[in-house]
Amino acid sequence: MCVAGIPDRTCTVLGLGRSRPGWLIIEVEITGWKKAKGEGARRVPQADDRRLVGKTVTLVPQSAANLLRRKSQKAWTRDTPGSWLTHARPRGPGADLPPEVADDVAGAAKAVRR
Amino acid sequence: MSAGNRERRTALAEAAARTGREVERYLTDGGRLGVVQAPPGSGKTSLLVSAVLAARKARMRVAVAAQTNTQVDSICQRLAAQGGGVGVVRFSAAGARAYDLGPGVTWESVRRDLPHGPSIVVGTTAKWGLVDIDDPYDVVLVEEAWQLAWADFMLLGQVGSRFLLIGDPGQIPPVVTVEVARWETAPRPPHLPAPEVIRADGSLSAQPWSLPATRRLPSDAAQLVSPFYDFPFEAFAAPGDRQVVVDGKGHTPEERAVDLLKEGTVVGVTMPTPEGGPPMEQDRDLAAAAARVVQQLLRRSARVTIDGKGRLLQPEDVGLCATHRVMNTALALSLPKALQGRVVVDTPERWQGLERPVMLVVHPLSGVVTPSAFDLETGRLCVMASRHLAGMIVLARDHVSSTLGAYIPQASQPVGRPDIEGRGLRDNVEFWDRLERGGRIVALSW
Repeated sequence: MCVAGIPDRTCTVLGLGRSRPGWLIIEVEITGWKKAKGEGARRVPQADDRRLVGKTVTLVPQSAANLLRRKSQKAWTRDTPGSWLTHARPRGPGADLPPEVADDVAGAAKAVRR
Repeated sequence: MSAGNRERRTALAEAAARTGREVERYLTDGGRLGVVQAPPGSGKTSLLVSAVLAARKARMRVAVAAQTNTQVDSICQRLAAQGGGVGVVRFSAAGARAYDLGPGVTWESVRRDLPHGPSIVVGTTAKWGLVDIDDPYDVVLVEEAWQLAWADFMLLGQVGSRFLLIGDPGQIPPVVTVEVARWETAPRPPHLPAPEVIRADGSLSAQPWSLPATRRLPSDAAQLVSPFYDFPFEAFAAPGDRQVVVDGKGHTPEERAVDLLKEGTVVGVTMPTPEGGPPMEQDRDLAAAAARVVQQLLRRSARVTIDGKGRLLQPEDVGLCATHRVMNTALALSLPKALQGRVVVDTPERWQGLERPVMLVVHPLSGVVTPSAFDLETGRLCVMASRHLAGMIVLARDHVSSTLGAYIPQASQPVGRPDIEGRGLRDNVEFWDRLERGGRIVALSW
């Protein structure tokens, strides 16, 4: 699970119990992003900050969206030891479009400047 | 074993060992990019383990990326068994429960705690791709590389600067869940297997190798699946080295199908197609027929001979496979209670990397009267037809032959891309024709 709106603050539900009818006690351990972060209105307090006592917290299943976003961001990182292979400009047959169908990017840029 | 066969096996073993030595030398001499293509059951993981140990012996930092946690565990276990005490780190997800993988294998989930000097670290591609590596590795070896899409391979660029990719081109291509039409003509299509993208770009000068022979498959099965591959390979086993033999002579069609395994390791079994068309995803009659064949094999005390060593067939020696989960459920439920859980039933995706002495598989086109390019893609059939050591029975409705005969490929692929649909049709036709021409198909009646 994670805290709604703070996907990096992940948690594990350790136990469920009932103290009295209509009440459910959920024991949660915060497993990710425990420290305070951010400034001003966007500040997220430390996970065990006493000021959070009494606040309503919504827990939602942690989605894979965060992982996908991280993967997507990392795929754009070019400054890596293997980038000569993984991020090199493709060459060889088929790497360039034939002139009759390729966009004339340089020509278009020149026209815009004019 | 005849002297000629012994010589042939020795020559094949020597060719495989030579490839292994070349790969090791390439890595330790600073080679930047190698691709090893291998037929099913040809010793890919053995080659990878030897190459990893050779690189570690040369005091290199070695990263190994596999596609599943099961593959990672298997590599760690083999490295532990063959490494002679060399330390291996099993790089796992945070919170993963550690279990014993053998002497010298330690678990680590925090990348800062990974060893800094010469070492071997094994993890999934997903794990390697998501952490930030501060201290890059000398070489990255990728297991089952044809299951890895180029988009995911790109993330390994941060792990090291030199790469060795090992895999089986006949396996099921990576599963991509988004529309990929826009990338079909890209110079480096992100959805295609990484080795294919590398080999298509001649400017990368990847060093190619092929393993020469399958150790798993019987001779005739190797011939049957070899058209699915673009490179030639043989089987270590000679004709007659692998057999499934049952007591007595059968009378019913199912019994005759089992009898046929004596003369060749692959048999087709067809059921009549109902006039209104075959059941589509879940074919209960075909599942019941498969269960009857399994029972036949066990009741008639089938003996499996693998390279001269014979033994009685056990339920655990038999595997069942169909492409759809609903059909696999029907197969599992058709088995008698005593066999359920002992005879493994699963999809071709899950059978990849596994093997059984005897396999019963439902042809992927059984029940498909208007195939699509997806249906004709041969990866699934290739995986299904290359899991057995001694015998395979392919079950299908009898429309498969006419469906393939009537199909006209659309050649709708983008200009410059291979005609996967047409190639799939050709390979499927050849697969089924070979069984028909060889008299290897038994027709069941209602």
